Amino acid sequence: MRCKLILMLLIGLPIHAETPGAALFLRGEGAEIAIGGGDVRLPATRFACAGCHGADAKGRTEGGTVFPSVRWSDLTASGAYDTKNFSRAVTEGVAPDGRILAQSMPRFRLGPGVLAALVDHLKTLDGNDRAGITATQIHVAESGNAALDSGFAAAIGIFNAQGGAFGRQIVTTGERGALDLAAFERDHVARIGAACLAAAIAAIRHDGYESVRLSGRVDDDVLYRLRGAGLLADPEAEAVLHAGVPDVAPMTTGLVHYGCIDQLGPVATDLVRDGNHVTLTVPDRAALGWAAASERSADAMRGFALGMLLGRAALSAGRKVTLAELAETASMLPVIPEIVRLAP
Amino acid sequence: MRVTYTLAALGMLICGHATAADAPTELLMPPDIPVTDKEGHTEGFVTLLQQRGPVIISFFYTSCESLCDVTNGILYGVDQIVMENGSEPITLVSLSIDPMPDTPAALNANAANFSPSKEWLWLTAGMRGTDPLLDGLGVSFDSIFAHDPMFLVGDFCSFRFTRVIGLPEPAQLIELAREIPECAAS
Repeated sequence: MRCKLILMLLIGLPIHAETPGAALFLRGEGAEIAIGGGDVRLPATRFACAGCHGADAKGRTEGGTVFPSVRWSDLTASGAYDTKNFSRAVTEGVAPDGRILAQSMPRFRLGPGVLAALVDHLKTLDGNDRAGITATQIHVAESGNAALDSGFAAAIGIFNAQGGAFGRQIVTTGERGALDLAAFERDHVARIGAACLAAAIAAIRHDGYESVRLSGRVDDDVLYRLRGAGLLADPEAEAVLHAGVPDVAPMTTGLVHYGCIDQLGPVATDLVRDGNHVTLTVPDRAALGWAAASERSADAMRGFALGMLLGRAALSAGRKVTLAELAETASMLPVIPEIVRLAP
Repeated sequence: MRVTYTLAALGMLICGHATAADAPTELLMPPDIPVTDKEGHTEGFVTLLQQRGPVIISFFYTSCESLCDVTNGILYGVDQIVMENGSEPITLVSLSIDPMPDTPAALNANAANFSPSKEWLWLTAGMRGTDPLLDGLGVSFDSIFAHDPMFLVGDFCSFRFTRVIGLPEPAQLIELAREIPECAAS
């Protein structure tokens, strides 16, 4: 998850050729880690510095573990670190004062050129705090998907009209350094979809069904979720779950349809008109109200949900926030779909 | 020679000084909750592990890219060392604590980063089973984002486990696993 957020921010940053230092810091590329005293090695791609220290290198806390800031200005603030002893810390896990660093800090194996590039990258991060965020605005680069962008714009319009967050409004811009909406969608669409699907399945069980008819070409994950909920797949079942790749096969009337709004929403009105009950799971109830005003595509619905998610993140992240912190806050916010029932 | 362990309310932090013989153990009898592996096969957790001898269990979630990868990196070290030595296998378990996104497909994709041997199982207890299984293993936390690294080393013959809170070296986990007496029932 965090690597995707990092990628999202990287896309939004001013376009320069990515340095080896940035590639190592953000994605663990160009190095290995040594495990068990160096006897075992593993590519560092799952051990990117940013994974623990944050894409902005400002540090994080996870449970009882504190990952300190590794911004060069912070590392060198008290004169503790220079290039030489930074190298020793990264490769041997020994701090300048001789203290052995915690095992949560991997011991890296990397070439001197990559290490120097890493130091250069840490130095550049000091000046990037305000990229994409001003005193009054949070900048977002549009995705290029017109429907997604229109839904997003509608959501942030509501968010901004309600006062925004800490004096800031979310605005779309073509400027560099903005949060990339396309990457934000890629990062969140899967978990929004998973939460929506789980809520639909829970609604089926709550309504007392033990079997479900599947509408759409589903993958093993959907079947796994159904089994986990104690539901059998039965083509004759009264309850119909809309999931996977939609199909347009005609359905018997009088059934009870369940699904996420982006899949079931476009056909919900027709189903109800034909005498079916429909249960929609909605990642944000405001999206339903907006969609009801006029027909909206699945992409537009998704854009709206993303806009509301980003707004919630802006409210939760606080006043002093970087794009990295905003993105991380969004990733930690729970997606709690609501249930909407439609009857003929 | 059978080694006798004393019960302890909490685990110990192995920081390179204690030996396996000093490690206190606790009795853990989790329910035989169905767990699904990364290939989609489902079996009771205890049933799956009961015949496999020493087990090292750790906890993770697939979207975590900080401490979870460190704990899985430690298990990778154990996996590699045991394979290279050609010694008796030790079963490793990476158990998901975030069942909603951690489907078998997600487990499989995450596991691929660590090239696991067949002795390394990647498991999820699903939406219904995760909380009771973790409860049965004495694991609880306010949020998946705040869980501390932890390993359980023991077997499901004696149901005795050493709880290691922290980040031990692979060799320390191997030492603990090697001290587990052979199951009398096998």
